[in-house]
Amino acid sequence: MQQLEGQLEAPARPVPRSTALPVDSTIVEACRPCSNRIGGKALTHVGVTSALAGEGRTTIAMALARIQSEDLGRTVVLVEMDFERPSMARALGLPEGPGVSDYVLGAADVKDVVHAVSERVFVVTAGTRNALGARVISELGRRPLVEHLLPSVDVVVADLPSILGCSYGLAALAGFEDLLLVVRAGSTPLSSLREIAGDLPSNAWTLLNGAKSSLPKWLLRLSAG
Amino acid sequence: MVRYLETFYRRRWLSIFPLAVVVIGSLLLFVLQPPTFTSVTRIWVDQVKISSGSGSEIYSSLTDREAGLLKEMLLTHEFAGRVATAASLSERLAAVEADSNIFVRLKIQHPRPASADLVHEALTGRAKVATIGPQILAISYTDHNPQLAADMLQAIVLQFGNELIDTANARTRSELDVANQTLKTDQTLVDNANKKLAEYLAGHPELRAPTATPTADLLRLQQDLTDRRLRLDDQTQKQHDLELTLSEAQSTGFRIIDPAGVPTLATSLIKVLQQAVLPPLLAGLVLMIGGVTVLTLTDATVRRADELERLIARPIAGSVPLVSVASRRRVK
Repeated sequence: MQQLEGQLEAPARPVPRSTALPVDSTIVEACRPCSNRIGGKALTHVGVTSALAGEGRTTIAMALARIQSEDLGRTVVLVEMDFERPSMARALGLPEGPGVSDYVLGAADVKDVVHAVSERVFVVTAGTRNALGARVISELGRRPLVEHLLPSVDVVVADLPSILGCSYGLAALAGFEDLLLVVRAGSTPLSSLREIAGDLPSNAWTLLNGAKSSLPKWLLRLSAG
Repeated sequence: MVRYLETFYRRRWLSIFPLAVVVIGSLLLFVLQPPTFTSVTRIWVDQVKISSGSGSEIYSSLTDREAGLLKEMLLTHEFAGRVATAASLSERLAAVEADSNIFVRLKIQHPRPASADLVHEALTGRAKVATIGPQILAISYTDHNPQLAADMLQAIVLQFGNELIDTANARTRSELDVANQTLKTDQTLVDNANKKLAEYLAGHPELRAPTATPTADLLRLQQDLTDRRLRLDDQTQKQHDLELTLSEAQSTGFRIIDPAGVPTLATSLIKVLQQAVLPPLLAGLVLMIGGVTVLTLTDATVRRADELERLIARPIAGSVPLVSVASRRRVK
């Protein structure tokens, strides 16, 4: 396995902390207990997925990365593996490629695809060969990216494709020590969750995103009692 | 239940809006409507004079029967037609409606012409009948014009009395016809018995002597004649009674205790408010509850962490609150 020691360097001009990973502080705050629950400092590689697209996977993945780097002082690589709807490059102001797809298909080397966004946060975007997403996922076994990155960093946070949203969604879950299924309150259909419940690995955790009870606090207390 | 409440709170304005519109609309209509007056009459039902007829067994008392009869009559066009002819009530009713109807005043609706249908609608909607004791019946009529309210009620009571008399007369006539027929038959039977006795005595002249010992046949014929005469007398008496009933049948079987006067006080505001606002309020509430129920039942999405845990059977790592779009834009 190719070692990347010394290959991941901090950027010459570090991006200010607050803008390194643009995630709302409320979301980061809410994700702190979640990060601790799923492993905290022991977390090594976690995949963030959802049943359908648009449920907040990327935001949650970024929030987890931020907590790991800022709170726990760990080096994090955020890997975008959603080839159908890549958004990280645009969100972070990074070039679209080379990225995961370019590396897996042999068009780029590891050091070319890793972009530093802050002192301890690195990002690998989806890349430029996104049309070949299914092939990229199947090729990952032969040219594993996470395993390449892990010796150089403390934790890899992968923004996985949605399970039902694309053909390789379920296949992309393989190999992750921890999985976090993001479910958007008031949006994810019960039927979709029922559909994936059986296929979901036993190591998966769930996170309810956008949870907001419209009930007044006194009524919530009453119903909880 | 929590999910139902959450749906309500989430869509509270949408849920409350139709209810508020209905109630405010009713209140507005109530405010714009002229006051209403209720004329009431109470009548004493004579338990003896009113004979029980067919169907009386379904009522617990004769007063109930009279109340039931009047309620049924109020629903018929025939009864309304007869009431309408009294004192030009349909014309007066149309005039009062044209003056008091807010939609007519606002020229949204054309005034309705005087007709028996108008009276029928008024009778079915505004006349109320209730028993207030074992022998007392209360009838009321509400209108925007107090004089019209009293006149309508008087016409109702008068027509009700006429209907009772007509019904009783028709029944007596029918019974009299049967009695006359029976009387004729009985008379023939008496004549036949008389003839048979005369023939027997003609064949046995010795039996005419006062000291003669009567035979068994003679005794049987004499007994038969006596029985038939007695029956004829009974039938004659019954016929006379029925003729007497028919000639005197001008009694309604009830008498008015409180006559229908012109009301001087408008119907209580609270009562009118209850009538004007309570039904729309209830209807609005039903609509609201129904709407929230439909919204809850058709919401096929996950809302709470416990639902998610139950469905997926995986541990919950946490929940992230909803962040507004504005807040997200600020971050970007």
